[in-house]
Amino acid sequence: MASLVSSPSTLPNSKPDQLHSLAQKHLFLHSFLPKKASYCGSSKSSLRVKCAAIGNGLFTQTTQEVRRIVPENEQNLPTVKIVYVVLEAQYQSSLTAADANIFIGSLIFVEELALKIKAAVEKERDRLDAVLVFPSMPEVMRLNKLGSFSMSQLGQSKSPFFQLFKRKKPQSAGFADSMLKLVRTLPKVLKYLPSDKAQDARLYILSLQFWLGGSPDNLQNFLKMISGSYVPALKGTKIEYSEPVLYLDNGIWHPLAPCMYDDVKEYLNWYGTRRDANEKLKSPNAPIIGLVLQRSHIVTGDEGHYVAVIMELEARGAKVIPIFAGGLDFSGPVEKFFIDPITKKPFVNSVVSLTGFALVGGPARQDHPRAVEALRRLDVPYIVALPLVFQTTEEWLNSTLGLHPIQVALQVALPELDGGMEPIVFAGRDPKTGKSHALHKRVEQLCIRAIRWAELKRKSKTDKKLAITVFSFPPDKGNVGTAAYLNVFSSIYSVMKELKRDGYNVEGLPETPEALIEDVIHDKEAQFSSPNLNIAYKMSVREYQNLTPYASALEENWGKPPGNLNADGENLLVGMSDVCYPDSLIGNIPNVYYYAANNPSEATVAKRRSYANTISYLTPPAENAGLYKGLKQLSELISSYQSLKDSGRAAQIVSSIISTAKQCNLDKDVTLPDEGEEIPPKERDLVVGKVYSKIMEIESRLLPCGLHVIGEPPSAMEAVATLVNIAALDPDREKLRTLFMFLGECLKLIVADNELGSLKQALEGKYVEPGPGGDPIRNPKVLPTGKNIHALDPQSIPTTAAMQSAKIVVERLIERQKAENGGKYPETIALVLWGTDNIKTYGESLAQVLWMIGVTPVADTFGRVNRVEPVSLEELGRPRIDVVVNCSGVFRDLFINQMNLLDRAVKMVAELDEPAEQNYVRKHALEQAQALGIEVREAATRVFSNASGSYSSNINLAVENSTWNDEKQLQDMYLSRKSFAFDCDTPGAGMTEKRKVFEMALSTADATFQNLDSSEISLTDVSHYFDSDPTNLVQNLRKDGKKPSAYIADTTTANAQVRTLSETVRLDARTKLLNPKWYEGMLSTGYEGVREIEKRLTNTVGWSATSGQVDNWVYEEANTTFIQDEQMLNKLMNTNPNSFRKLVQTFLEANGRGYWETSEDNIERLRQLYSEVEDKIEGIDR
Amino acid sequence: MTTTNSLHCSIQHHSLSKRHHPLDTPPPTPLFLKPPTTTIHPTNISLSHTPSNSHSHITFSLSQTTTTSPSTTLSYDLLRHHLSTKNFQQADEETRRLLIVLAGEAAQKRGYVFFSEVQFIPEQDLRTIDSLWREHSDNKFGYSVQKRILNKTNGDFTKFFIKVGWMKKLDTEVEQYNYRSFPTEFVWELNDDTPEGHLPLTNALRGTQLLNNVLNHPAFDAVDDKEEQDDAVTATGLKDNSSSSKNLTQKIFKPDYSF
Repeated sequence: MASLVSSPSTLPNSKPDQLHSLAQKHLFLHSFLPKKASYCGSSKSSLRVKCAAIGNGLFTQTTQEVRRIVPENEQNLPTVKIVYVVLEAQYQSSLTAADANIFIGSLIFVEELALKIKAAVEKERDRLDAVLVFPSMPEVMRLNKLGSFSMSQLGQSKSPFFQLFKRKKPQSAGFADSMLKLVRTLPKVLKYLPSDKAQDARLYILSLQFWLGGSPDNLQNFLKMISGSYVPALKGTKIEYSEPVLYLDNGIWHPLAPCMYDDVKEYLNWYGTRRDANEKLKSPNAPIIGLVLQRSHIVTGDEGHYVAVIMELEARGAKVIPIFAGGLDFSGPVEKFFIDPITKKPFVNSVVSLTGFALVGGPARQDHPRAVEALRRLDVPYIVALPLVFQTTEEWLNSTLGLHPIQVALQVALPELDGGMEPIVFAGRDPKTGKSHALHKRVEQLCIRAIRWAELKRKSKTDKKLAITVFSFPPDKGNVGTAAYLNVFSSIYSVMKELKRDGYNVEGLPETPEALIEDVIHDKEAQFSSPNLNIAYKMSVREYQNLTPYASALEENWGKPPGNLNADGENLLVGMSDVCYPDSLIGNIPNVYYYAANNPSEATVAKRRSYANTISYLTPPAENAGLYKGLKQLSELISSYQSLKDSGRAAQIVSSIISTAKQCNLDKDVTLPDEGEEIPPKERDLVVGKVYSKIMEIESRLLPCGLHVIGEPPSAMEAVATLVNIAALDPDREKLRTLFMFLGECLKLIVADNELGSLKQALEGKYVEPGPGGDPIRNPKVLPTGKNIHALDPQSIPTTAAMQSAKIVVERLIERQKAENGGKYPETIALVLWGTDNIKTYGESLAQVLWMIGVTPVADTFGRVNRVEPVSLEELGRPRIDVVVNCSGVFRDLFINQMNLLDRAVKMVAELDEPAEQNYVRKHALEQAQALGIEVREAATRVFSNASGSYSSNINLAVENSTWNDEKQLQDMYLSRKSFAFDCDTPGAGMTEKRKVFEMALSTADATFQNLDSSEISLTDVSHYFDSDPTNLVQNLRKDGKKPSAYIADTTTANAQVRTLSETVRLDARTKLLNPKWYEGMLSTGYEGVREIEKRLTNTVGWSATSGQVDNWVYEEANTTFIQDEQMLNKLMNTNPNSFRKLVQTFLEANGRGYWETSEDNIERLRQLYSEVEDKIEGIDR
Repeated sequence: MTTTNSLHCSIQHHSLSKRHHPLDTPPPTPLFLKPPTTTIHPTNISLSHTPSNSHSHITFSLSQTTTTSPSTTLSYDLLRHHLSTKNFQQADEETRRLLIVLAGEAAQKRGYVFFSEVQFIPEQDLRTIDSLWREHSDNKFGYSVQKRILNKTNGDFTKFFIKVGWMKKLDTEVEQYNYRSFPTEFVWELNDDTPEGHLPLTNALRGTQLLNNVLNHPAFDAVDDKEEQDDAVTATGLKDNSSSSKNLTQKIFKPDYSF
């Protein structure tokens, strides 16, 4: 934030010791706080200094006036005006309009800001008396000017100072740290230089020392020095200043300690002699918490929030070792002060970083491997809490977006890559002083949790109490223990068995996983809502209210206790719902959460909202879908055709191929001649070839088989299957040797089973190594599983590689659309951005949007993407395609910066001076602006999502629960929930409803489009894809009522395919729901398998509802497979009657809603089955 | 004013180590961080920290913290003066200053009280401050009043802050509270609608442990009893303010390093 400071001053005879600590600077490296620096002069009789500050928020709606302090200048003294910017772009008006004398910048590592500062300051640079920029991006550093000293030649000069910037890729925090090192050594040299020559350079170095010293006195002397030396109005008045006072660069600090310590033993000695400490705190059993602090907060006296944490911890009986560092690399101090150099054991039981930064690199270039290495050696739970940086407390509380997006990127996402947990916002910021202050409730939460984690390190295994919770949503007995690709009960069993073996107190563990299911569900055939069964404990409403201080807050959404779910009318049955108020609900309990390795986005939400140490588990190995039934016959026919095509039987075989293909409903995918039609021998190859490539596509499709069990590494065959898939993705088959070496490494990772090991580490209060989430086939770094899953640096996407892949997909998509629409380009494509998808592919779908509208991302010196440039129409070779971007709620949470980037890109394109027929974004924006009477820029609103804090269109819930009347109702849900736009011009406003523009934009869509990025999650595997599909909605909105084309890009294989939605639905049905290999694999896991089958059918109905792209035969075949087969039917009904009932119900619903036409016999049979299974469930219930 | 973080009444501004601070020239820090007026004259404040006083700190042991040991030389005249003239804002400033003085030399140097220093504050002094406040506020203000409120909220400081009017409700969809801005958003008058326990303020800039320790100081143990007995008992000692402390500083406490 920037501020402007003016201070009238009287000059002569000032004595430094009479000056007050007026200047507050809270930030050198690392706190980008609003900051006041003020020059002050004094006379003997009086001192008049006032500060004026101007600022506004980049993403927040900050009122500038809040920070303005108007100077009084009663004595008409010379005024020095200083403008300073620490991270945000709000200086511009004050710098140009008002005639500042001095500009100060520091820690400007955000490109968007850097460029604005450069533009604004460059213009004024000659006029300014001095420009001082402390560690920042090189382009801002070049603005430095102090008399003859200039850095405009930065990167070219041979001086050691400039050499620093020459390195193309400064290693991690090395850049800033070497700069600091230089600052410490250079002055010694400079001191002996003839002052007239090196005076200016010397003053710059002194300035840096003052700045790093940071204390009010240092800052004051700094401003006196600069003003006295460079402000013309003060020329001739000799202003005295003291030399900088230097502090330890890193060490141990405690508010009560007489000094800072450089040695942990000395510190502990002092700690032991504290008279104020009570017995609990002095006990050798007291937990010891390591704190990581920023030196700048300490030296500047902005440490109230640190003191709060120290007091809270000590008051709760925990000892503290608070360490600080001045550079950006905390890994050294962490090892130096927290690890006993002799025993290599940690002095601390858990560590809390209060900096909010990644351990190495701060806001600049991070070095996560180095951080992980240090933390692995330390091996204690590592928490990274954060103070508000860009927002004041009130701005934060008022913002529907919550934490400032840049802070989310820098201080939530990046620390996660180090394995940091629990991003608790523990300190607020005062608008006027910019000072940090404790948020008392958050400090309490943070400290209790840190102690609880520390206790895990100290407690014996037999003393530890562990609760295992399973998902059951929607609350129904058939849904107990839902988790993606996980055999939940077998996994729980495996975990409990291992914990028992390891010395935990586990009583009454049954003999088998099946027996465990029986124990938990008590009676699989009883309804879960039935209060008389499977209940361990009944809690009275009163007891519940006592245990849940936030009970009244829950009533708004959940009604008065006890409610209807899991209750018998009087008592609540334990488990409470887990979707609300995660912070309150998790309370102070350390949370370890198994999450599918391929779902980093939702895992990240769990990590942030429920403070979970997320441990990844492997998704089942993918295998080829294979062929079955008619498809298999077809394959055999084709091979006999190949050997007999020149014989007399060829015609007959081709005829069989055609009729079998029709039986298999391939006629929708391949144009087949009519049966009986004579096919000239020349065309036979062509027909057979088309059928062949279609069945090859089906056969080779990857699908995960069965469900994973925690702690069970894949079998040899499964591991090989995964390897084959990894290899298939590598197009470079020439270098087989390298490939096999690589695969050898992969094999080790695939079979390295660390899922149980990591859980045990977490329970023992050890550090769990972090790792990326994603598709193991795409990114083998996901392996071995058992890592604390994280997402990625949101500013790193889209990568160049992602941009390359995106271009191919976009061009194929456009070609396909053109081919099917008489060579016409689509004017608008409506598409969806998913969080997980963009994490796994490093932003491919994000890049697709950019390429559709014809822009390209531009990375800054740190490789971060915060800017885009238009690609010329010549280079693009086609019109710019308009877009309607529907971002998932999770994408909004994780990638709000990218939404900002997209919106800027769209608006930029809409404002390009190009012919409308070559720029559909502009064409539509102009039309919409006119229709709505708004500016083009505002009309160019294309980036939508849910309102803040809301997720999905809820069509999925409606479909899953069969609670919808007609498609119109679903479409209204979509419009009302998904019409919230992000506006880069008022980013602080968060998501704003722009339904009108949303509808107008959708009405221009010629195509809808989604991506499938990995084999485990396809169209009907989850409800998300149909939930976000607007195909039918667009048809309704279009003036011509035409149904848009619907496409799905399949980027699961190296050669990306663009298929129509209906082709993909068919492919999905053939390879999953209707594929014996798939459903038998599911059924082999029993209870959960039935639910998985039912889920696919329900999701298929979802597709019918939102897109109408499901063929009748899909339902018909499903009915044949699961209902008409007596053996299958009985198996399903007996294994999981609740899910089976839902399956039957879904068939009936598909028919009732007109998505499936079938014989009356089939329907009658289904009705009969429904009442049978009802009776079965109810009967046993009673 | 839209400022937040009111509770940061910034004890550090009472930093007594800066006694030579020319208080008539307010520093350029934002309003709420500065002493609101300039009427305090250092000469009025008796700050004589006698060596005996500080020595007693050194030898103070935990087991004896409940012992009353009022300081001999601290003057409550200024506090009494401000309170009797209903100058609550000044009285509030003075109270925090006194608390720092009572907490010892280290606290004065630091400019704020660390929670664990509260145990060294003699019971009598806290009671004196408390009774002065109650006396001049019709029992509306004072630590013991606050303690009773804290007890009612079961030690929940958020509820407490809302009750005593130190936090304000925000105009947001979800019910949220933020700290009031000091000094403008606090009530400096004794009106009917002034919340009970509103004064004296204790800074929450550094969390709640300081206030927690003040309110749970043995000086206010009587509050708990009193509640149980439904207001029946008035601790007699509370009435005789500053007179009691005669010989207590002469007590030599045995050093106790056993903890």
